[in-house]
Amino acid sequence: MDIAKVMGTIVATQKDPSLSGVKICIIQPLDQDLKEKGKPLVATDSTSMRDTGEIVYYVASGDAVSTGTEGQKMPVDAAIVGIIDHIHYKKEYLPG
Amino acid sequence: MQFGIVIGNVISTDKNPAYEERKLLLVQRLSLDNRAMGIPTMAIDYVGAGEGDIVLLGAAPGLASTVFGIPDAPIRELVMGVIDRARFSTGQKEFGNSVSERHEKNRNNT
Amino acid sequence: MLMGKVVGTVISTQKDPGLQGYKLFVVQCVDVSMKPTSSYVIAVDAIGCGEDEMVIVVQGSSARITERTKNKPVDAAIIAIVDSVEVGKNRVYEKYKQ
Repeated sequence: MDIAKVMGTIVATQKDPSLSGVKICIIQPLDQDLKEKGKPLVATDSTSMRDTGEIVYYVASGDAVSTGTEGQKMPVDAAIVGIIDHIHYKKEYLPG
Repeated sequence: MQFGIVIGNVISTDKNPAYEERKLLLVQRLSLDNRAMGIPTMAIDYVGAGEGDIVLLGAAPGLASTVFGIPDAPIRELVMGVIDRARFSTGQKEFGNSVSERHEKNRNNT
Repeated sequence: MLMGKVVGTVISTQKDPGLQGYKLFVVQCVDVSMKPTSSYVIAVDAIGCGEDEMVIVVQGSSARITERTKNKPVDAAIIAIVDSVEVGKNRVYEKYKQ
């Protein structure tokens, strides 16, 4: 699971039937200091409404398929699984 | 699995049902020569690891459903064990996580 | 699957009960010319290998299909010991070299 920021939303009407009613977002992966890391990607969000700018965490690849309501499988390779309230870490534990 | 060091934790209330009542840690993957590999990732802890511990970081699709017995959990990284020590052909590494050493640490703290 | 050399063992007492009784090896990956790369993986021993041996590791859900690791919380398993490797016409690795 990695940290990301919601950058925006995508609307698509013509899509796989299992994706109907599912919100699709553009997210930007972040590091532990909330600095941008890597390229933005498209992720689904099946749980609740996410606002732009919200800090979330997501799963990628094979783990994302089972994020549908009631464990329903979806053809998805990145999915938001929660909103982050608070991150706490100690810099001295980071090596190097 | 890979080596990781627990550097902190993450609090989240609004989340996927599979994450309910599970502890989220922030873990930095380590290389064999103790350097950081990539950026820290989030991982679910169920063995009782804490900040500063060197841990076994597991990640594979379907691993979490095997561990927690729930079908299709959208969870990737798991802290699967706390490492006491590792022995290499070049020598031994102690991580100070063994049970006796922890008792010692706690005794010194109190 | 990836190929690597067993370079160490890991000892952990506080761990998932499903990992009890398994040997955990540190496997350093190698490239096609058998040079060690910077990547490594900690894998469960599913065949009975030893240190300094060249092995094959499977990762992901495939690691939970072997005889010894069925339905266990395992994400990487050693499934074979390499006897020899041939790349092109060259034999780049041989276990029982004199």
